[in-house]
Amino acid sequence: MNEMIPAVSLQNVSAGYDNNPALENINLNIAAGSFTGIIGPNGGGKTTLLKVMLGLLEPWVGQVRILGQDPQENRRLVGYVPQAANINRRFPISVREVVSLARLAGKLPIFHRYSPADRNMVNYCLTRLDVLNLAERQIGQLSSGQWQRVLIARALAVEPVLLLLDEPTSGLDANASSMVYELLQELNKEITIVMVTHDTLAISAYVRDIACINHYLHYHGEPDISTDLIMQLYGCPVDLIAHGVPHRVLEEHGGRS
Amino acid sequence: MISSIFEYNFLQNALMGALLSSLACGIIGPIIVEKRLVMMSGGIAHTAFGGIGLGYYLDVEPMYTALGFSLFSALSIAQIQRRSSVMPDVLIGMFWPLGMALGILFISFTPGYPPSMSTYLFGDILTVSRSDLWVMAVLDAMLLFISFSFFHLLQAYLFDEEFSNALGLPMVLAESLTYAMIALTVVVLIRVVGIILILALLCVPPALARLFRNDLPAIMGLSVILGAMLCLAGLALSYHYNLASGAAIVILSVTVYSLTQLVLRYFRLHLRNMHRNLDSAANSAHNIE
Repeated sequence: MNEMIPAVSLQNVSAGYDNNPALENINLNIAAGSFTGIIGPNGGGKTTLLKVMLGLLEPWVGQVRILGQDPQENRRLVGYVPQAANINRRFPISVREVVSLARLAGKLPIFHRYSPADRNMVNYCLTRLDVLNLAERQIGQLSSGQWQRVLIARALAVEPVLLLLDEPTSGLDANASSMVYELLQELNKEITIVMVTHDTLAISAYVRDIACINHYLHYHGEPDISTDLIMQLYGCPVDLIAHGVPHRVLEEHGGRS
Repeated sequence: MISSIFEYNFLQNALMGALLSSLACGIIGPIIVEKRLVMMSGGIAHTAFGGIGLGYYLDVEPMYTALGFSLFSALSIAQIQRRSSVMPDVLIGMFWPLGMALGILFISFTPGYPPSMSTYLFGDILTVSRSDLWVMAVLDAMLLFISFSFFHLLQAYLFDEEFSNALGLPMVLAESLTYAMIALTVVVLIRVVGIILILALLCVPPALARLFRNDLPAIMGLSVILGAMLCLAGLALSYHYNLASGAAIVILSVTVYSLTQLVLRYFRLHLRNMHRNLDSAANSAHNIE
């Protein structure tokens, strides 16, 4: 019934900080149920795009809709998984408390206590991400892979229609990374996923659509794009090959087909 | 000293003052330590001096003007931080001496013989009056009320502001509450340790508690207890050896923290060696077999 309404719709969106534009004239529709990777160079506006979708940053112009609704008015639409390294892991808080805090979405918590429904949802998310046995641990006592799964559990506890992830596998080894991707693939059966990533493996193996962002939206579609486009996007193809960023794998992928 | 407590009113007041201040610093200390607001709190404490000067100038109780002054400056600082791109460090570096300078000006404008400021700068727990105690008790009650009623909001703010913002939680409210609580705490502590020595009482109990517990409510509770022990022991030292009370409490606190760290380190080393010895003993026993 909702098939016609895109999960994410941005129309003529421009946004930035102070007087510096980070995104210009972005038109992007992400279909409900898709698994989309956002790629682009550092400083190209990927994180800004996430913030606009989250309703954390008001666009200068243009319109943002999540399943047809304003993300700033309905805070329960989007689950957010920030870069794991940005959070203070020394903070005295348990895994269960971290995930529980997501249940405060859209509330004004005065004399707040978690309801049985909240507690059930927290347990469900912890179980789903296979971290229930770690629930009472202080967050500093987790491995990077476990911590990443806790952050995903927290985002799911919002019960969102859209899951936004900012580089969910940075700092993880190959094993932990593929575990995270397989999990996301599983979650993708019920929920739309948009993920900022630098991981070429993810783009070739798991992601079904990509959006290339460098101030402008350069491409949005299936993950087999031309070298021309990558050149336009990153500006310097030589550097790209040297550092092995998306284009090399993508081309191989395209070449095989 | 125990029998003197029943004899002398000023000792009873001092005792109550110590307990009331340890409650305040036990609640807010862990918050400022976890949110890295220690220097910010130092700055807010020093702006209170402007309020004390104003109290003398207007001839009203300096505790009240200090409260107004530090609340106003704490909330304005939070506001300026949100609205401008000034680095927090630079901001602190400006309003810290600004508060002191205003205090000095107000005092120089005050007619008559200039009052002694050392009670407010370094604290004097032995001169805490009944009315001081009432102010401290009311402020403590407010601190308890805020931290209980907004516990989840404060936890969300302290732990992950960006995510909490995305959840639509009122982070401006949480930040204002936190800064206001710092201002209230400063006023509670002024009479006991004084403006200049406040930071030690805000840092040491939570830092000590953190060595033993890692959930926030437990750290707060333990901080209150440790703060009370340090304040009471400091008070006893100051009474017995006729030392300045604020200085006694601060020196004792920092010493206790350092010793605890040393002892813990020794135990960890010792335990590791014990394990190693046991292992090698087991190995050699194995070899003999």
